Amino acid sequence: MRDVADELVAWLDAGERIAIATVVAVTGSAPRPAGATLLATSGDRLAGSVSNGCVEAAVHAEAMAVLADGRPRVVHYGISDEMAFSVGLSCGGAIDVLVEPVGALHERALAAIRADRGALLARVVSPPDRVGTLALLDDDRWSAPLDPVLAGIDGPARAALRDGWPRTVEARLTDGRGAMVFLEPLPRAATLVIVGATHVGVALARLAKDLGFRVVVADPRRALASRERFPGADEILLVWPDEALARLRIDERTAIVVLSHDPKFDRPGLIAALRSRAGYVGAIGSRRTNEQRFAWLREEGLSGADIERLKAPIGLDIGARTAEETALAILAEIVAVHRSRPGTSLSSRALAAVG
Amino acid sequence: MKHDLFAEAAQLSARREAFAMATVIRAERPTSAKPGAKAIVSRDGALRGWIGGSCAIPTVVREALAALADGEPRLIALSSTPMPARDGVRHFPMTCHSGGTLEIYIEPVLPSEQLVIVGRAPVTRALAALGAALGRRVVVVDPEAKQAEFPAADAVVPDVARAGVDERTAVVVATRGEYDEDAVRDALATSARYVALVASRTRAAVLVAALADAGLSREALARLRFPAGLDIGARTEEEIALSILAEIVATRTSLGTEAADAAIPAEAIDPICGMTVAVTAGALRAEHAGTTYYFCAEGCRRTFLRDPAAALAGAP
Repeated sequence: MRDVADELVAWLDAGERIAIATVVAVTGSAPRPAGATLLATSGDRLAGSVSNGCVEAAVHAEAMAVLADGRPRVVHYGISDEMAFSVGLSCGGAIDVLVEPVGALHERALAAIRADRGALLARVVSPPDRVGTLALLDDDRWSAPLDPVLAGIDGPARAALRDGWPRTVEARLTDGRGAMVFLEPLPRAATLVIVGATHVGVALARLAKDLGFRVVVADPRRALASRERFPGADEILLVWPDEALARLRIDERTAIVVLSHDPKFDRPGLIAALRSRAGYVGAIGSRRTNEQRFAWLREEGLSGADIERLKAPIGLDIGARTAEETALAILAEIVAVHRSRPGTSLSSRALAAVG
Repeated sequence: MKHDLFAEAAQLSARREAFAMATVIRAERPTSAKPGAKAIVSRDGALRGWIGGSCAIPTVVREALAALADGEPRLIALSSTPMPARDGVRHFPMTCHSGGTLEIYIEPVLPSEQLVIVGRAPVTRALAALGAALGRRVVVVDPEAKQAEFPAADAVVPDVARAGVDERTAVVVATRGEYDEDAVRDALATSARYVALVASRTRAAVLVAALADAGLSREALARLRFPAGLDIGARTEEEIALSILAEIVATRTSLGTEAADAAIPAEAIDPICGMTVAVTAGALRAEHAGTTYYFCAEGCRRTFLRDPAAALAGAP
């Protein structure tokens, strides 16, 4: 839902009647993952996608029907399905799409996204007579007191919010029937803090926005940390690095990258970063700079564990030559560290597997 | 003449042909070339322009081809007298001539790296956008794709044959099951330095087996990377694109070929003056007793041909 948040705000403001379609199950190689969203209004406006065009026309027709009768429904599209064949899910696989009118819970989820709070939507996908959005977990609280259904989904919902993966869980309704509940986490966007508004910083900010990061630039030098140089940055803090980091809400989803090439910015920035909860801390510099840096951090009294967190030299070793390639190497390392992956080629293992 | 050289450089760039630009930056008399004199050396070893006479040309050509091979610019000094070593300067004797010193800056000008994406899968748009942000020339290949769908692409073409694939090109097949066998076969038939398939291991194994059954050699199939990308735990389309572009950069060598050494030309010693000469299609040569000899200049070749046996007897 995050990727259609802008359209949803605009259309709600314009008083449109809106249906929201969400992929709630995927079998095989489907074009879009679970959680993919399409919005459709009675005024013929469309945003987002549930299948990259394969079944959009059919989903749009369902959306119009939902806006007419107000009843949420789950529709199955698959290559083996005669109806889906006629609409052509050419990429293979099968998807289940929940189509429902946008209601109060969606609006509150939207408010959470815009306020940078983590939230999660819980939607019943079966039995058919109970289909629809059931509850919202916003800033650690459920939208309604825990009834027996919610009691069962609380644990999985919090796990989904932590790892960012949607999932479907079993629950039991008050009437004793079993139900399936789709959990769509809307975690806070990962934040990238760029300390030092350098040339590499400009490239990094640009690529990071495409990857969905919230980008914060921290540098007291007004000429470097300008809006012209960082048009896409969510925030530019014209203060010293330690002060900038003190102002931010830093958690495991925050990556801090020190690019200043100047000890008077590097040092306060690094100390604050390594003492924070940031999931990734990296600093640019030559091998020699890094040797001095590590020695200096030990003298400052940082623990071995804190110092070991520092990625220096920064970025995956891909032989980057340009600022953009350095930015690519840094972002690839940030993702790899977050997912605890090694960053080596996938294909070496595959070739061995095939023989 | 300089103007013509720039026009020629522009034409070579437009054709995505690599060349080196050699510029005289210092001349100590007596030399025929003055500071600012320029020449273009193309990959076949042909030199156009003027950076000095036959004494300088063979060395400049050889260093230019080496620069094209390793992608690094170099500064060379040609002198008839020994010179003290300086950091960052490569010294060469100027043996055909008496007197003078030339310093020449040689810069390789390589075509931009190219990213060819086959297929109109979800990851195509993300790859095109990231490739463009990294300064790659981006070409999307799909029989039904339209340019408007891929604003970041420099070109959208219907088949691999029309994508202009060369050795500075990475090809990513992301057709998601549609025509993927044809796409992989076409991609492996090109000189692309990187060919990767975006597919599950299961699908890739089926495809590789089918292509092997259809007669594609093991050597050809061994070039195919699958799954594409580095193992960074990518989930979103943008993250998959990131992992693939990172692998494309990581597998790059200087010229963009998998074996850069292959592009460094063979060398021979001029039997008359003792200079090292690049063995290129245009090199001056002479046959004697079943052996080919190479020369820095026509003068040396003439001396050799007058009495090859005597020349070889007195060879340095």
